[in-house]
Amino acid sequence: MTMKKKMLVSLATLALATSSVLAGCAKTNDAPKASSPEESSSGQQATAAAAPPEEALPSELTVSMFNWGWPTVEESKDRIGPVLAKELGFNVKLNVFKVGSSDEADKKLQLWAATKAADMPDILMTTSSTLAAQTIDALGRNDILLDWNEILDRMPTYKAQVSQLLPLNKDVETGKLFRVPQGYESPKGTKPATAPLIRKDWLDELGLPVPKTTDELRDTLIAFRDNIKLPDGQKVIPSIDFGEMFWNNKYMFDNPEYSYAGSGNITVGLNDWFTDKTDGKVKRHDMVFSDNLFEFLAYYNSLFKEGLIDKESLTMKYGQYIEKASSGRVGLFGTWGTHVMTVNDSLASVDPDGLFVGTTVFSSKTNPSLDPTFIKKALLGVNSYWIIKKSISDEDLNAFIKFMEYTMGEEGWKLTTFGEEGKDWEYDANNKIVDTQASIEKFNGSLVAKIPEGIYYYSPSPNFDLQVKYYAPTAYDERPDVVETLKNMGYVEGEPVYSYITDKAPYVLPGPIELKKGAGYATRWKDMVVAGVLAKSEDEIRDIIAKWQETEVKLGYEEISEERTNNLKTVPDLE
Amino acid sequence: MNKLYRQKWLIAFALPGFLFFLVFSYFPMYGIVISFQDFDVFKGVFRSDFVGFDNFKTLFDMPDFNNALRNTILISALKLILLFPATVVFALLINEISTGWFRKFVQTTSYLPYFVSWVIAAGIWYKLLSIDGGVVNDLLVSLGILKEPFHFMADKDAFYPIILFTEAWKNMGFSAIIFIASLSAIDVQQYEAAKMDGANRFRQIWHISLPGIKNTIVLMFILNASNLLRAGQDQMWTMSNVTVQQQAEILDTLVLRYLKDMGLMGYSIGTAMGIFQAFIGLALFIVCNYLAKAAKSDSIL
Amino acid sequence: MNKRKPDLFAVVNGLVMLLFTFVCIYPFYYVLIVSFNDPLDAQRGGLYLWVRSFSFENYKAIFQTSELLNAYQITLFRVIVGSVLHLLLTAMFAFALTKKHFVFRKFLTWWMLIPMYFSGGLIPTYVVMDMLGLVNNVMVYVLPHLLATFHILILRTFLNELPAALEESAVIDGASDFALFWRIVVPLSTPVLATVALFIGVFHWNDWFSGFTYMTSEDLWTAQNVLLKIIQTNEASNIASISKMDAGFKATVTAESVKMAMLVITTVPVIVVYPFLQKYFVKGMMLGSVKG
Repeated sequence: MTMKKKMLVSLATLALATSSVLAGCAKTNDAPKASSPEESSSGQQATAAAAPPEEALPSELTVSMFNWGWPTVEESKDRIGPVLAKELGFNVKLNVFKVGSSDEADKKLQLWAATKAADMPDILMTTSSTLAAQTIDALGRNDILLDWNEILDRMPTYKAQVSQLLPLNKDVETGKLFRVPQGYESPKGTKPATAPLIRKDWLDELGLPVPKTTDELRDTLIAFRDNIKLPDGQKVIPSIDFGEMFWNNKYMFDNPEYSYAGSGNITVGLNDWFTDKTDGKVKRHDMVFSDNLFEFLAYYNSLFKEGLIDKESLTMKYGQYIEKASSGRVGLFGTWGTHVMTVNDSLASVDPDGLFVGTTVFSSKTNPSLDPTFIKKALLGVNSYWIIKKSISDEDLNAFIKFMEYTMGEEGWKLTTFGEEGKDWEYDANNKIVDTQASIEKFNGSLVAKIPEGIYYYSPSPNFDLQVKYYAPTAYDERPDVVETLKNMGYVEGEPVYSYITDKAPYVLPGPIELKKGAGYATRWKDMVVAGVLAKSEDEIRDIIAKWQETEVKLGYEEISEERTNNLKTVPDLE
Repeated sequence: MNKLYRQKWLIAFALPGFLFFLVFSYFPMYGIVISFQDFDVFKGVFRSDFVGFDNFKTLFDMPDFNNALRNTILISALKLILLFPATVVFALLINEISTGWFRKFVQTTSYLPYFVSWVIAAGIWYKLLSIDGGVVNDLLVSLGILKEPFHFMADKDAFYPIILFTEAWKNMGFSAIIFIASLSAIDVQQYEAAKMDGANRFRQIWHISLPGIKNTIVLMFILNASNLLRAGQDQMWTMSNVTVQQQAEILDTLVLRYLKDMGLMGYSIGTAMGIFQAFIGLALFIVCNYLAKAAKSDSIL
Repeated sequence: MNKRKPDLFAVVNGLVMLLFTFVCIYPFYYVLIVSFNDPLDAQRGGLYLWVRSFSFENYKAIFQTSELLNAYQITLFRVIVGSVLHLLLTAMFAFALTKKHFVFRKFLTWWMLIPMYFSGGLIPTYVVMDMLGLVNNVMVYVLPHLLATFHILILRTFLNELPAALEESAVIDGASDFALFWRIVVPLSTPVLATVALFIGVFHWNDWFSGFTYMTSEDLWTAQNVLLKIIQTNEASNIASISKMDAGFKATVTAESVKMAMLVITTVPVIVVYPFLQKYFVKGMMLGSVKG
């Protein structure tokens, strides 16, 4: 290359680089912004508080949501979308932001907030973390978000479903409602969680009943260890647990009067704040019920020492954990949710008779009557919020309200949840909804297969009354492991699974003192539990507990407790 | 003015870089102020309340801060003292392989683990080191070195050696590339002359290879040393478990853990931590650079 | 290329290297066999040296995703354009910094050094990108990564070691800085340029953070973002199998196994490209060819 050519080349490159910068500065964004509809609305139409007889509607409504895993619809296959559009009079487009975790969704929300929410879509579903709630309320106070009190009267079906939850979502400072429940659970519609899971076939082989107390459980584990023979001389692992989940089993030793499961129907088991009935002060379980805490640690300590719980429980990664449970050597393992069923499926390939079922176990020392009602209590919880920007056009707002009311009403709910009548579902003899034969052949009951065609995809919020009315027991419900599990959990079909905790203490939002001094609590708790499980003697356990409580006080437990007590009044009455 | 004109090409070459850092590094730097504020994401930087050094105080007062600081320094120092020389030696050894295809093979495979994210790498190593059917234990027991499987991942004393080993496994091949590249630029004639003078392989390495990459070594050392307060967040986060939590906590993981619990306040604290690390980092860089100059090496500044 | 008779050192060195490569390769080999093994079977564990139950399920789960093709196009765009521009600007900047008589040398050294330690944080960076119009804009993959202080330092250190005589004679012949750069410096720096190309290329190939932070539209995602999304969808599917609605659902893939397949897909192209860069790392090749 000649000198001149080289000169031109590098000049061109410099120019290219500089112009790239300049080009980047110009908004070259051709991709449709998530928030604006394709067509331009013809300006605001004056609407009174009551909807005018002929509402203005856009041709497409965009609803945005975060999603860290659920599959999305495939436009070419979507059947439900067009039917929905016909019924509503406009297209519905769900704009899904795929993120890796709820933390990332929160981060994205914060980034939008930092730029005055200009990039944020008009209608958005967010997580329900403290951070999200704080950010949303801050946006609301700065006039970015709509106050839902203004439109809830136009959404009677939705309002009826969430009426109990609404008071908890108020912004404490202004009393306005900037966030409302989008995803939530209800005792009417959820199944109880299981913990721990035990090999039914081994119990049957040894002629043992399903253990109900911790002492029975220990004896069962010893029987597993000593009397079960595995092929190829493999050693039986009586039980395993997952390091993080040690605290799940604390429920076995909780004081039944002041304890409850975590939010939803999943036993969280971390330490609960409660209002002490004797003095009205808000206290924390682990700081008051030292004897219960001792029982818990001593029990697992002895299991660990006697080799009844796998030593690797403390150091396994989750993948290893599931592997072990599926390997056919384990008698008992803890879990959350009902992951059991996938384990049973892969266990079946190793041992066709192997079957895990769920149980509930209590300590007869701390809970003599084996009273299970306290684990059937859950927090009134919301998993995700709807928020709407104030700048939304009236057309889009009308469309959203129509969309919500329709999809939560009978007709729309059946369409969006189950699909097209006759094609995807039909009524059975009890007027419950079941899959048609064609649907079973096509999808085999798999939601993941149904969603690309639009089924279950467009349902924005659950309606539990309709669920109770129409849900039929599925093949899932009729699996033997599920049936057995539910029996052990004391679940009776038709009855509410749990009731809501009405003690205000756990509902108090963390204040500035708690945010500052309470940070890192979960880590310290885990440390303490591990130390207790590995302790060399019962005296050492008592020392550990004493030291724990001392340290917590030093770190500010009393001030946090006082702050929560003072803030009890910010929680509405829940009775 | 004339001087500037004579250097016109140099200025032209440096201009894009200057603008780049201005726009993408210095413009956002106003965010440093956040560490001195009670940051409200909506009020933004210009209207959030100023709290002086409160955030730093909260940070240093955190119960686990001292432990995290100690761990961070210890781990970084160990990596610097042990792994850094190992990397250089590794590069030298690769350079000594005369069979072309074998050298390429070794180099490529040594670079592979770099791509495995720590999430997966930790999962793999946990499986390999497991007391229940892990390959390492099975091997050691069958060779008679161990009587029964050793619970690697639960042993507090074994934790740091495991961290160092897995770090070497994952990053040494990658870190060596720059030394290998530098070695390849050494004038071949120097080696030939030395050989004629009767120098054996080791003397060649000592007198030619090492001095030839001295400045690269010094540069990498200074950079690594200045990162003392950043000890490998991904690795510590994924390789730790409940039993070794105390040893595994470093400054970055501390912040991550706490941020979740603290809501919006966590963001200001996190920024404060970043400033703290950056400040120490830059200071270390300057000190190390000065020491290098004193040792008659080329200075970076 | 000097061939010496294999002496003791070479043999020992070779053996040590062999052991090291085994340690490096085995975990990766493990990933490979798990990726080709049926996922439910893999859940049982016990896979060490060979595939027990061969299956393409994990790869199918990835390649059936239609957005992947578009995402790869974007990845390719950023890898090529981003790396080329990066190399060019880095080389130019580093070259200017090697000239001791350059008026702004000291200033610019500090200028690039401070950002290596101090950063404004995520939110201010986002705000600036927003002001520049880079949010939801494909150039956000290229522009913020045009330079990296670390790379500039490496290159500058290397350039400082080039024999001064080469440049001096060119200057005497009347060559401008421009000519110096293109005719002499660039051809001599190929090992280090290859190194930097590798570093920045791999960065662009693997980066998912930019897409996640700055893109609201999936059309502008890179392949890494799509791959991660696939894994998350599969993780959720496992949870879906236990929801009330999903009767009798058997997971066909597990998130763990898909992760392995994803790792293979991400790494294989790099392994394929790498040998082309390796030829620049051969001892003494470049200098010899330029001289005389």
